[in-house]
Amino acid sequence: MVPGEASYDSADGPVASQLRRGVLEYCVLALLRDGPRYGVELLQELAQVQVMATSQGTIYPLLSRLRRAGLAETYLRESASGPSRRYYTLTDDGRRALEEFTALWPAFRTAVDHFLNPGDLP
Amino acid sequence: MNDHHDQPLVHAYLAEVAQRTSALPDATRRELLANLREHIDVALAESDRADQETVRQILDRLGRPQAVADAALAEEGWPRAEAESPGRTTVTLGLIVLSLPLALIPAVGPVLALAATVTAVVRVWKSAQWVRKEKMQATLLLLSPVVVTPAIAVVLSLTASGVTPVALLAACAAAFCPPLVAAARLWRSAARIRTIGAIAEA
Repeated sequence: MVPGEASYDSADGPVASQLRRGVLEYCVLALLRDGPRYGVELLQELAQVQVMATSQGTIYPLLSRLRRAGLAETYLRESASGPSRRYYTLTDDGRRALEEFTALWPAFRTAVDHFLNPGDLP
Repeated sequence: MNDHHDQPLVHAYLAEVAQRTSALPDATRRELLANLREHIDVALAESDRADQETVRQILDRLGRPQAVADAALAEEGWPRAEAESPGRTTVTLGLIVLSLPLALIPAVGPVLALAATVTAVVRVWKSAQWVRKEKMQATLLLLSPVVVTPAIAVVLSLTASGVTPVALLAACAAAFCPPLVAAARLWRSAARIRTIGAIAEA
């Protein structure tokens, strides 16, 4: 495994996990934007970013939900090394959901910053 | 290659996730367990080593079985079960256990037993301590004597000896087994949720 990866300590605070709950699925969709990824690969990329690092196993229920909601699809692909990998890929609906989130996010981010830094009033 | 399936660590991990997600629909639960198994397979295949320590690391990164199970239950829209006071649980389960002796009171017994059972069922449904699937199972088991007792009595009456007091008592005792099973399951589940709550608060 990659040394120096973010720690997977699941004991992070309720604020961090609450925040993550809202945005994690869009981060996952964003990771799939440029092409299919298999589970282990996807989780490693998420873990590169400290604030998104969570117990890896908790992402699988999220991935299942994205699949059931028709935002992502999966398929198995043989691998030269070891077992077949299950790849996740964006559907058109998934791409639309990601676009919607991408469009909303800047205003959302600005609004939160606005409340957190009252001195910053425009 | 896949010899780690015999790994007691992997087996114990998956078994715990399976146990803690028993409330999930079967297909969802199977998918989760298959995903975790595949993840462990792939992570091991991609690792340079396949020893016990590597397995431990992979499981560590997956997170505690409880955390994975909670995430899966939350995805299904189940609110995390919340423990109620032990006293409340004791009253609910006490009503279930009491219904047998109540049923044996002459004349009014069956009515009292039914009242106690119905009250217990209502209390089970009002509690946030048990998930829907547990409540459904408990309800079926608790109400089963309504059907099972007359059924046993009919069978007994068809036998040579007819309905003797002893036979009737035996019918009541046999019919009372499912509610006892329900009480035991509810108790175990409640105790588990209290333990988890205590750990979370520690």
